[in-house]
Order: sequence, then structure tokens, then C-alpha cells
Amino acid sequence: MKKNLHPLDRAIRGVVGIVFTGFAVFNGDYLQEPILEVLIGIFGALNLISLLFGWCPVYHFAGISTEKSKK
Amino acid sequence: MPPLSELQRDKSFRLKLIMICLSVALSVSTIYVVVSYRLAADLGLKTELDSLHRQAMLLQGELLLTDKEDSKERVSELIELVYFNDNLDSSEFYLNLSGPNLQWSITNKISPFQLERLMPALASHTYKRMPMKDMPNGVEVLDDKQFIWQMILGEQYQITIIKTSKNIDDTLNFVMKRLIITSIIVFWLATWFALTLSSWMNKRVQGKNDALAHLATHDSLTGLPNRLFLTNMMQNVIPNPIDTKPLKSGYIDKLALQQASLFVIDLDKFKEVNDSFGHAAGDTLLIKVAQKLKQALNETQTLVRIGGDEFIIWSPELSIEEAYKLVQKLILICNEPVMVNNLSISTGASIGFSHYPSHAIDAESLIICADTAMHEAKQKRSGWSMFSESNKKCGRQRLKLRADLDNALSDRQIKLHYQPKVSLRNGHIIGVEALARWHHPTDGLLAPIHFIDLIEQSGRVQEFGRYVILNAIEQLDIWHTQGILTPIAINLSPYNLLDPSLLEFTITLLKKHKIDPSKLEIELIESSTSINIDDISSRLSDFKNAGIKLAIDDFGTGMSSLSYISNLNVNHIKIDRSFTNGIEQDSKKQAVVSTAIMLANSFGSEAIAEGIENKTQADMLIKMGCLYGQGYYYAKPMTADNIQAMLQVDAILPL
Repeated sequence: MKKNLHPLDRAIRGVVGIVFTGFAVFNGDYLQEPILEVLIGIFGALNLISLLFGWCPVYHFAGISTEKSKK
Repeated sequence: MPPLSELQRDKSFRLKLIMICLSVALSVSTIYVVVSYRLAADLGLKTELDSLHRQAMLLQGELLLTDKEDSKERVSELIELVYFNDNLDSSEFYLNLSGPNLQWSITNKISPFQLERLMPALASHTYKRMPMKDMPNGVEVLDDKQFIWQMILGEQYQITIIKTSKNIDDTLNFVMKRLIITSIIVFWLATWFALTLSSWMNKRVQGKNDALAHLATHDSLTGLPNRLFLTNMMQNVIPNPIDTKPLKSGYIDKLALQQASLFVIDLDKFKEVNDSFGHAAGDTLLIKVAQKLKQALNETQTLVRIGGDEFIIWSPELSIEEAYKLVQKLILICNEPVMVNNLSISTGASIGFSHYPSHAIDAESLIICADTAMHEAKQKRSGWSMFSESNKKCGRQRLKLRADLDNALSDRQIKLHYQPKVSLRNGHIIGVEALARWHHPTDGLLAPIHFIDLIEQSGRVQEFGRYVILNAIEQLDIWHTQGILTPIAINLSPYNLLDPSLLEFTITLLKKHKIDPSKLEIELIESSTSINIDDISSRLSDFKNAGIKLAIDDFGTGMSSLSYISNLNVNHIKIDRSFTNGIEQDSKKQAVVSTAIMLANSFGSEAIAEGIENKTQADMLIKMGCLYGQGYYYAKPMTADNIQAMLQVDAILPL
């Protein structure tokens, strides 16, 4: 897994990942909709993967990288 | 270079694609949320109204079933139980019952002022609702609050219920929560989709674009970049002196070079290889030489094929000293034999190089400087040559002349001057040789040495050949009308003879001007007869058969075979001036000249001695049996008018 995320990109994904995963795990009942709960869980989990590895599967397949971005 | 810039990568293409995908996703999400929200709201309202309707019906039923005396108490008890119990939040509520012996109403959290404004609105609906005219219901918005109401207009009792709907708000909150989350997820999926799709499309489009750009900037045979690529690349690193765009200057400064060297390489024997072994062998040779040259270069240096057997090496940041080393290495590489069709072929090369910024400061001039140096190397057979300060001026002059060449032909600035050929015995003019002179508007009169190679390099040899023939025939026409029947001899380049329709062109012109073909003579330098012998030979025979006379020019200096010349049956053999010059003292030259005269006589041709400068030479030549000659002793080349005057009086030379 080659890193393809810029630290800023990674940080934003980390926050989003924690918020959404936390929401799905601890507050999922709020939505009263299991499908949405699962989707949010996946969304959060993928963002957490990005946080952990600095790698985004979608970027990987799309062949883009923000790693060396000058932003 | 407009064609290349069109093919340059469009960096915004991908961004555009992403933006389009995202905006589509955003608008779909928005439409979906709005419609879903409205659907949920409508559904909620309908349910609420339905429920209110039933509540009102229930009340009416209760009223109808109970005794009239205690109906009031029962209803109020019922209302208390249903609407104001502890399990439900008490909200805005108004109920009005009226009937025989009954007028009762209850109000909760609705001000009389609000009621006053609501009642007329309700009353107006009672007339409108035709299908359910005795049970109208509806929604009224007052002070940003939604009130739902139901009326039962029964025969005995009339009931009016007004309440705010907390259930509607609940439903909407409920739905909105899910909708927003769903939208986020949809948007997230759409972003994924947009990224993947855009990158996929981008890859495909740019791939094709790159392939096109590669085709446009690379030579298909050797795979090397071409001239278009080179000029583009050089324009990027060499700031254009004329281009003073302030915005781009920073960009250019960053890339601008301190120095660079440019080499023009021309293979010496490529044409011979092509002619002797065929084009396939020539192509193989080019590919192999290109490979070898490329191996000798480092990554920063670029090898470019600019056409035919010419290559350019562009080497940024290479000083003149380093260029000296490189050029020697290149010469060695070009001299190494190459195996083509199991034959070892060694094609030498002539290399010229120029240095940026000391020789030229723009790409085009830099190439021309190196080109000039290459031609110098070729002429001197020195292998390589650097563009030098001494020929810098000459180089500029060449540049200028090259640019002026267009006008020279179209404005007929190049004119024919004529030098008489005389009979040595009696000084009569037997013919004239036409020599091209460029009447340059600023540089004065220029001899062919200054412009002939420019014409050859700019690919206008054939155009120029026809130009000369046309001028000569027109001159013949003018002279004919004045009764002068002197033939004109013109000098043609061997490349002119490769022009397949030149003969047809000439004959058509001769017919048009009603000139006898024998009045035109074509002089070919001896060496030119030796290149591509078969082709030239058949062309010459065609001219000869058409009645046009032929002459071998500069005889004795070329390397052509005598057997070949003997078969050509030329009318004149012109002995080169180098033999005439100094013939008085040099016995070897005398031997050569007398042999040449004998040879000419035995071939059935007439010998003409060139470059006669004094009477001693003329007398000597007469003694040797040479009957004709030309040279400064008799007359220098002169304008058409001057020679015309001379021809009209049938002057005896030397005057």
C-alpha cells in the first residue's frame, strides 16, 4: 500500500472517519434505519483506513494522489 | 507552433470532469431531498387530517348517542381524556360544539386574536368544498404555525376542531434526518464515481492526445524527435528576445539557460548508400546511426532528426570546450562502419556546431549558425567545424539573403549576365554563356557563389533551374526579333536534371517563343555527370534528342569516366580555367590541355578553353588546336544590354 494522501487530506479524513464511525457505533439508533447505519459505518471505516495507512482505495483506483500536492 | 500547442495536455480537463460529475450528483441529491421532503410532508398532513376527521366524527357520534342533558359533561370529559392527558404534550387546541341545547367550546394556547383571524378563513372554505361540504377540513398557516382544522356540519351538531400539528413537525424531523444522511452518502458515492470516471476518461483522452502529440513531434523512421519538437523545446528554454511579455518573464527566468550548444550533423555518403543499395538500406543506415549517436549522449542532450540525413543534437549547458570534445566523439562514431545487408558501410559525417548565447540568441539563428558551420566543414572536408566569429557576419548575411530569396525570384532580381565565347582565330563571338547575378536591392550585385547554395538548401533548385531557362529563352526571343542568332549556354545543376518535367517545360517554352532548340545549350559540370549516372545520362540524351546542345563544363577537374563522356556525344568540352591559368610556363598543364583538345576532337566535340587572360595563352591554345575560348582577355560577363550592343555590331574581340 503506497501512501497517496497529503497529511491535510489524511487529517480531514481522520476527523470525518472518527465522527461517522462513532456516530454509527454509539448513536446509530438515532437514525432508526439499519441500512443508513451500515452505510455510515462503512463510510467511517474507510476514512479510518485512510487515517491509519495514509492510503485511499478510491484514489488508488483512480490513479490520483495528493501526497506530493503543493497545497 | 500552433499545431503542437493544440495537442498540449489540457490540465483543466480532469477538474472539469470532476466538477461536472459532482454538480450532477449535487443536483440529483437536491431534487431527491426536496421531492422526498415534500412527499413526507404531504403524507404526514394527510394522515393528520385523516386522524382529525375521525376524532371529529367520534365526537359527533358520542353527541348523537348520549342523552341530550349530560352530553356536554360527557364530551368535556372525553376531550379531557383524549387531548389533555399526561402522556401527550398539550398543544394549541380549539374545539367548538354547537347544537340544540348545546353551545360549548374549549381553547388551549390559542389566543382569541388568533381565533378571530382563523375563523373567517375556515368559513370561506365551507363554501368552496363542494364534494365534502358538510365535513370540510384543511390547513391554515398563521404566525408561522400550521393549524389543521376539521368541521362537521351535521344536521344536529356542528363541530369545529383546530389544532397545531406536532406530528407533522415530528415526521419532518424524522424524515429530514434520514434524508440528510442519505444525501451525504449519495454525495460521497458520487464523489467516488466522479473521481474514478474522470481519471479513467482523462487517461483515455490524454493517452490518445499524447499519442497524437508524439506522432506530430517524432520521426516515424528513427523514432527520434523532429524539428517541430526541437523548436518547441528550444523556445521554452531560450527566451525570445522580441517577446517581452512581463507576465511570463518570471517563468522564463527560472528555465532560462546559461549556455548551450547545438550540433548539426549531416551524413556524407547517405545519398550514395541510398542510390547503390536502395532506400531500405538507407533507412537501416539512418536507424543504426541514430542509435549510435543516441548512445553517445547523456539524458539532457536531445538527438533530433530534421529530415533526410540531417540530425541535430541539442545540448543544454554545454560549454564550447565540452562541445569540442563531444564533436570529436561524434565524428568517431559516424566514421565507425555500420553493417547494412551484411555489408560494412562507413558513412562519414560533417558536423557543425554553434554556441548559445555567444553565436546566436534565438533558436532559429542558432540552427542556421550550426548549419553554416556544417556546410563549411563539408566544403573543407574537415569533419567538423564550429561557427566562428569571422563567419558570424557572413552567417547573418546568409540569413538575410535566405529571407530575401523569395523576392529575388518573384521580382526577378536575379538576372542573367553574358560572357562571350569567341573563336580564337578571328575573335568572332560564337555564343554566350549565361551567368546568374543577383541584383540585390541593398547588397548590390552578388555572384552565384553567394546564393547558389542558399537556393539548393532552401529546396528551390528546380524552381531556379526553370527560372534560368525561362530567362535565357526570353532573351533569345528578344535577340531573334533584332536579328541576333547567337546561342546562349546556361549552367544547370545536376539536381535540375532530376526534375522529370524539365525537358517538357523547356521544349514548350522554345516552341512558344519559336526558338530553334539548337540555340540553347546546357552546360553541366563534369562531376555532376558522375552522380546517379544512369538517370542523368538518359535525361541528357533526351535533351540532346530534342536538339538542345550539351557541354561539359570545367573538364578535367571532375572524376567522371571518359567512356561515359564519350558516349554522351556532347557538343562542347570546356577545359577548366585551372589548366589555362599559367599554361605559358607549366609544361604539365600544356600536356593536359593538348590531350583534352585531342580527346574532344576524337569525341567529335569542340574544345573551348576557359579563363583565357592574355594573348600568350590565346596564341598557345590556337597552336595546340583549340579553336574556341572565353576569358577576361576577350570580355568579362556583362549585362544583356551591353552584350546586345556588342552582338549587333558583330564586334571582333578583344576590342
